[in-house]
Amino acid sequence: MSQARTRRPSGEPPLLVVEDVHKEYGAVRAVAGVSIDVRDGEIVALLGPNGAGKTTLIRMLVGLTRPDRGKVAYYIDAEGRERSSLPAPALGYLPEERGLYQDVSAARTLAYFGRLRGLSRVDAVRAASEWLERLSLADRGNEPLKALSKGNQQKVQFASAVLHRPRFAILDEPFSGLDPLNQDLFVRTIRELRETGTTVLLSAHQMQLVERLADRVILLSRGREVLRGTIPELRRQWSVGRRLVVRVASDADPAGLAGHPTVKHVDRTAPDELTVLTDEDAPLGDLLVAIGSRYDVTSLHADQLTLHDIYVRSVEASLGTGDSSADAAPNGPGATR
Amino acid sequence: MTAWHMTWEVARWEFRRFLKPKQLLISMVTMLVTGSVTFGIARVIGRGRVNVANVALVGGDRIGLAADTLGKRVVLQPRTLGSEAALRDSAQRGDLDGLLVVHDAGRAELIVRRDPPWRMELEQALNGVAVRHRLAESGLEAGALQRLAAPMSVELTAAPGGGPGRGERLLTGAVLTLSLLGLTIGMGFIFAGITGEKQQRVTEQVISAIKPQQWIDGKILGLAGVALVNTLVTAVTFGGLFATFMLATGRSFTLTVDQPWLIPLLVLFPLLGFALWFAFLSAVAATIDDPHTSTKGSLLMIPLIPVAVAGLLFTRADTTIAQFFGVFPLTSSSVLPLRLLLAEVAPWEVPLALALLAGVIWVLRRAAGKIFALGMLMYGKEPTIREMWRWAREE
Repeated sequence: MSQARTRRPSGEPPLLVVEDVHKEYGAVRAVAGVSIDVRDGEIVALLGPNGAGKTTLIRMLVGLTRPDRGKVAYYIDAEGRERSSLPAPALGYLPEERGLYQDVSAARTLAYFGRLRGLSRVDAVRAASEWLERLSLADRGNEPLKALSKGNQQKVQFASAVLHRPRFAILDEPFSGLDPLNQDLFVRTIRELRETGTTVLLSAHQMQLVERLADRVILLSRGREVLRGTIPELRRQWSVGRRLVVRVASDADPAGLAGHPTVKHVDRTAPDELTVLTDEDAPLGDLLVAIGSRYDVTSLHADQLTLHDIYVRSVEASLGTGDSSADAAPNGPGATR
Repeated sequence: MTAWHMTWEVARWEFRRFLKPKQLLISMVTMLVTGSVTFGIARVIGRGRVNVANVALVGGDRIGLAADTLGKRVVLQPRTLGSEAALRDSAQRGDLDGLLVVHDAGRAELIVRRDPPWRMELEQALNGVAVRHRLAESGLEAGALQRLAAPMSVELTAAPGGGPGRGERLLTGAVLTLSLLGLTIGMGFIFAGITGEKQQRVTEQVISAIKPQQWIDGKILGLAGVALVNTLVTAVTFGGLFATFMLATGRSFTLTVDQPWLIPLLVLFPLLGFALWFAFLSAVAATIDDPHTSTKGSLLMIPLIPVAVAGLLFTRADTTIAQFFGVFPLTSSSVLPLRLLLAEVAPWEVPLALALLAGVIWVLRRAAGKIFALGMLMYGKEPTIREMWRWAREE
């Protein structure tokens, strides 16, 4: 992701601005005052537990429902004209609630969705063929969809949402139900989409994939935004420091590092393993020399806080469950709780 | 793409998706074969040997009834077969097919083991004998009675185009039958097309690409096209069967219509009726979550009412009530064609009916589009009629 991500200019104009959007269903506040923005060329991940309001927000962005309050605005033309919705050719949408015409072939289905998204008949057929090739389904394009496996049907569904190369693609749970190989395929494909000019907003529960893919993350819980930022920003907000995991050939006695000035804390986490905690930005040179001189090191790695950890801690904090100690709280500026 | 292009694209998709030429051909051949076999069986039955019932007769001399063949299926046996009591026992046991005891010209008794299929035939023949007996008693000859009972013959001489002939009546029947056929076939396709799509969960992705009104218009257009093709194929098949029947029985048939300029109107009004009712059905189908358990199925009978009204007015096409239903937009699609063929239609009726029907189609189409838009995205529950009414009025 890094090549594309480093290309992402944070100063790009917003393509989507959502301001203080609310949506209620009866007594249920599905979305309560969410404000987000998505800049041109970004891949933004919308995260949150089940019932957090992600799909409700997405359906408002697509125009399937209207907000009770607040504003959804798109800016896609050079003049910066504000639009409340995107024209069909500019939008790609993979809904969470999915299904296809089971009695129709994949090729015809894709060509149809291409037509609905504004492609000419010739271009729609060509795009359908290209996407079937790209998704390794070229030899099965003329079979009815019901003859395909669930994973292959999902590939067709994904292609039907983006084959027209939209300006903005909203992908609700694109990875659900996919095996690891196909998850990788989707990650690569979404990156390629971004490289060819598609801005992406996706929701997902697969944190490792999001970590590899997303430029920015927005976390919702109970209809509210609880966290936002790039993944390094989130790590800084939530991390209590850097953690080094040292494996040694002999007994891992923590006393050898106890007095070192860089070390905040050292612990024997296994008979042959030490876990050393330092400040996030502390220089490691002296410490590594000390470790090398005092132990017979078999392996050493720095352990970072994963997006999964951040997600769990943030959601638990927002719900008032789990660990409420200082370790569970963000420590950086701009943290939202 | 323009809205019309979108609508057309959906119509094309639905048409190609639901029109199955191979299955249509198979069903056409099946209908032809089934019809031919049924016709053949009917011919065989008609020409087959009839089982004759042997019925003992007692008291036939009271009305001049001889022991002889009565009708085609009953042979009356003389009393010599035994005493009346013995014959009664035999008939009740089933040893005899029956015992007929004639008391007088007004009363007879049939003793059988069970009610026989030839009873009606026997009664008709017996009535004829009894009437002849009464006539003989009153001194009136049979020839005189025939002259008295003969119907008066009225020959019709009308100016050309002055009224419905056999051709018009047959054409009216054909128009109503085809309307009914088209409506029922179309209802099936609309229902399957919309509830199926909803159950397959395709709706969100489609509705994010096109406006609901374009979608419903395209679906109605495409599925109505499929219904029309199916109706025409069915009509041609039945026409073929009818022609085969006429040829096989050596009969001839010519259909002449004195006012051929009516034919475009006879096509236009039922087609507009299809548009009206298919829009209605689309809205209803969009609100059905599970077709197996939905209570809205009864609403699907409503589109059949106009054809039923037209059927009831078949012999009253020239009445004031028929004139009202001929311009009333919910029934005009079926009743006005009936009146055009069978009654005098005032010059203002056709344009008024056309304008009212077109207006109602436009209003219903818009309302259906609004109900469709919300109904198609509603899963897990069905809206009430009151909610549908509110959606239809929303801007």
